[in-house]
Amino acid sequence: MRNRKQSFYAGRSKVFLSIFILMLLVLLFNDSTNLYGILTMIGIYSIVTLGLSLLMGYAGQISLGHAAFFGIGAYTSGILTTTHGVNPFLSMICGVAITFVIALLVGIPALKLQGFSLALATIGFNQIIYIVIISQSQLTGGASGFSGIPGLAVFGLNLSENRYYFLLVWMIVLLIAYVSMNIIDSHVGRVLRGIHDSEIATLTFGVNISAFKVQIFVLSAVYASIAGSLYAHFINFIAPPTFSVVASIQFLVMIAVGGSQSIWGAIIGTAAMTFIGEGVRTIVPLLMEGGGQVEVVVYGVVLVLVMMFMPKGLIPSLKNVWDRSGFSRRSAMLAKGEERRSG
Amino acid sequence: MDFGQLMQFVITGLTIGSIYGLIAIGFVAVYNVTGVLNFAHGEFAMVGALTSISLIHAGLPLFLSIPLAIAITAFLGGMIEKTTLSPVRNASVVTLIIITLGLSIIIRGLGYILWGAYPLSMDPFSNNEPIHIWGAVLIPQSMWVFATMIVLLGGLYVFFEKTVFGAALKACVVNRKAAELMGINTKSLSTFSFIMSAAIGAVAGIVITPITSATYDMGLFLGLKGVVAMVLGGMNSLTGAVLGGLVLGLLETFAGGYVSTAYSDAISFAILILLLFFAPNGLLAKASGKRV
Amino acid sequence: MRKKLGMIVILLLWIALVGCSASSPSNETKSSQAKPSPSGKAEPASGNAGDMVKIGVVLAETGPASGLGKPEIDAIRLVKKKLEAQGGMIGGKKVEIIMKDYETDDTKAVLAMRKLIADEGVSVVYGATQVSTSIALRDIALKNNVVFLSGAPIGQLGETVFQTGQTSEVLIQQMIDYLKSKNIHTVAWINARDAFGQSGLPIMKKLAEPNGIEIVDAEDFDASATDMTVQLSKIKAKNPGALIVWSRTPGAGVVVKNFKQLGFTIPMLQSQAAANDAFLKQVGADGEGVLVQGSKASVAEQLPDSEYKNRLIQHNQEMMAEYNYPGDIFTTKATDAMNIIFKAIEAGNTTSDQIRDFLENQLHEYQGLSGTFRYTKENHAAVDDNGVSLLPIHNGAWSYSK
Repeated sequence: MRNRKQSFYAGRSKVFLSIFILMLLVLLFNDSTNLYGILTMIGIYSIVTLGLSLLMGYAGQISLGHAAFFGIGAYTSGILTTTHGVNPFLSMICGVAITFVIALLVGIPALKLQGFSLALATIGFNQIIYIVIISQSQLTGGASGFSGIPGLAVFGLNLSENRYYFLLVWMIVLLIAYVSMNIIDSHVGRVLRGIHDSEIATLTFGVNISAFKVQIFVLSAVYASIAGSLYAHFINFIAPPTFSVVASIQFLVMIAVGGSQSIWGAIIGTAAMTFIGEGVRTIVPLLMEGGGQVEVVVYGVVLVLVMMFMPKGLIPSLKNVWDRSGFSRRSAMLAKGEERRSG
Repeated sequence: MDFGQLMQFVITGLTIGSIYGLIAIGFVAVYNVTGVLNFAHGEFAMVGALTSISLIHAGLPLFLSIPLAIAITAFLGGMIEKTTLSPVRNASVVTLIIITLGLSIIIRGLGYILWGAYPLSMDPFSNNEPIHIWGAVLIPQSMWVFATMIVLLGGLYVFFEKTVFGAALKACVVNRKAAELMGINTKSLSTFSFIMSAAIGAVAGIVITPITSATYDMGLFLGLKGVVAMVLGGMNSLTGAVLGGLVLGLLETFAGGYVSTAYSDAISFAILILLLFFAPNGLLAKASGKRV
Repeated sequence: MRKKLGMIVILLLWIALVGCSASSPSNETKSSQAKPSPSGKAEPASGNAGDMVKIGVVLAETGPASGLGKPEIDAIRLVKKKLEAQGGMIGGKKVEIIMKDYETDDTKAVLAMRKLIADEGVSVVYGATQVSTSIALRDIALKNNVVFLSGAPIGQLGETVFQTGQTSEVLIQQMIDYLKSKNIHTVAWINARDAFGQSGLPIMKKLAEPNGIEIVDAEDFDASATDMTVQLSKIKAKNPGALIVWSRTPGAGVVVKNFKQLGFTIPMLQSQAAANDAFLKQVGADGEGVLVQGSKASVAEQLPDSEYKNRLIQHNQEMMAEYNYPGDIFTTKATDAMNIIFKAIEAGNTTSDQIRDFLENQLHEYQGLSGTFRYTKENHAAVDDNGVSLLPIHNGAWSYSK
């Protein structure tokens, strides 16, 4: 247990610090609007995957419906700000409130289901939301999408500039990562890991498992809703395909690639999948002709190879390499010292 | 209520349902042996359908090109298992599922490169004059689909329940370790299950193509519906998969016919979710008696 | 373990490489710009310095909409090839066409559009394959004051936004005129539940009443569905005089098959989204007599002799030689878009503002492959319907009747 705990928490301030330094480096050296755009999207998706990895890696529940919560957040923000002129941040809170209620209503019965039944129920939920968005065209713009969503502004500072939006999104990512770490650290986290390892064993300790599962489901839905609102104000346009089951599956892929046993796996996986996609589109045309479909195939090949050679995801593999390198002994000693101080 | 219309909805529902059921059988065949939910299964239907169309265009007669297309798809299924899934046998279920997702992306991309983006069609197997029953229309190809499904179901039932080889396959999923201890080579059985499932997928794809026409991305839609039918039927029951497919097809058709076509999918999914709450292990859970 | 290490090293290199390539264009723009703004964002409209013009193209080469995006992309590749063959120069200006595949994903389209404008400094953008994506790109173009030629019919335009190809109003009016000429007064409507499908019905509703046509039933279907029998059964019960289908393939073709199976005998009118050879192949013999609103390029040989006919035949031959299929409504539309931009550049216009002025005031009556362009300051959507016609399918081929 002790060893495991260490892999969860060791050097957590270090990770925060490195992300922070990375952010500063990007700000200092990057002038490309496109790179800011890509990094912002990684941040937005990371917020969703952070919640999903709590649900999957810690509570052991698979959801294929989180794109729906992402959509509820996006459409609530879009409709309230654009059609009714409500303040964007207030709209975001409304989105969270609506998501909270819906997630609770869905979660209480759904989390009684096991394994693939739960996956199917969440697919069904996602499809229903998707169809409602398409069919309620008076409200949502239907399949043509909802356009003209304003950007964000704080104290007169226009955040719609990619650079500022990038900063905002990543601050929120760090905040949400921090909250999630504290949850894992708390009593709730221990129960969650218990559920993941053995539901029955946890149950025998007299723990109300389903309440915990529902709580974490609702929390992850709320994360997705916040991400959806941020997406709507960043892209300024939303349309149903962004919130389909296919998107939910992509979120799952991101976590699996990063590794679901660590909070950072969600972010690493999201970044890796995005960069693999971008990389394929940059590099493949240099090597061969054949158009977009060749790139799609290469993307698939890379995904399969990553999962074959790193079946637990990138984080455990990266950690392995780290452990074997010369640095690790020194840092392990440091970590031990840190732990003694804090523990 | 118009009786002819009602009849039409029943016929259409059963036709669509058989399509879903056929796909779901293939899912079960792999899941039963390997415990993997093969997201690339819909692509087998696509490969089977488009390969047979190509062979027909190349001048081969129907009765030759269909078995050949099935054999090619089955070979592909075996290859895939050997190269990508077999080396990582012990990885977690989610990892294996993601690998099959990656495979489906690859196969779909290759399908586009080989056959292009446009739908291709195939002539019906027999005379396609619609048959009129009580004011409704039934096309002969629908009967082909239904019959294929029943024959496959029967054949697989006999195979799994009445042959030693089939029993060995089933033992793999009940307890892999024990099966290995009993001297069953679980590795080659896993490969075999992929070959079998790919062949079933190809059969499904070919027999439905005269009705739906075939495109490089047909696997996505079929796969999603097939998974739903399979879970509805209780994951590891072949009969359940067929029943799940038929229930799903009828639900969609009646919701579309009597409530709203716009919401037919939403309604059928809502009913599905309700069904799951009352029968969390699938429609046939009690009959098969499996509860983990 | 060594394998893993290798994989990780490769992955890190990959990320580094992508990071560099993603940020490198900005350096170019920066150096070519007179004064880079402090934010690093190119100043639109004034972006292009003198003798270099960049044209952006955002289309769906892959993903579900690729069936429609492919002919557009091929047509533009052909234009690009011809341009490069003559040294990439037009009217003494260096012209570069930058093509982006948005993979039928709105998010990627928006990011690509922002990159084209801010990092590449394009003066004009052509896109997108789908209606919804075009709407998203329209807003970005308006915000940045960049000329945007919309390939999909999007209804509401804007100061810097032009519609290439006919508006849905023009096309539906052509269908209504046909119905009136055949003395048909009741019609049923069916569309796919995607952006193009949903965009038609409101226009039909608006135009039907003043023309004395009653819509007796309107149904829709999932764009990827494989059976429309339910919807058609409902339509049959209402006994309409004709059926209008507003969907792309394969849905459009499935409707034809089910229509035939259910024993309908009324005329069926299909939209421009079904006007390609793939549709012909898909419906086969079931398509006999179906009317599809397609480009006259598809029936070029059957047209009365004219200079226009010769240009269409030439376009078909070029497409055949390069891609092994003739021109259609999508290739003509995309080719026209590039040609009107070239015309503007040839007349010495390089910035967005200049190109917009040219299109509004100096293009006058331009006879393109897809129809006659009559843009004015007030009307950015004026393309006549003389490039399209309702083509009856006869013996598995397009025919022309007029």
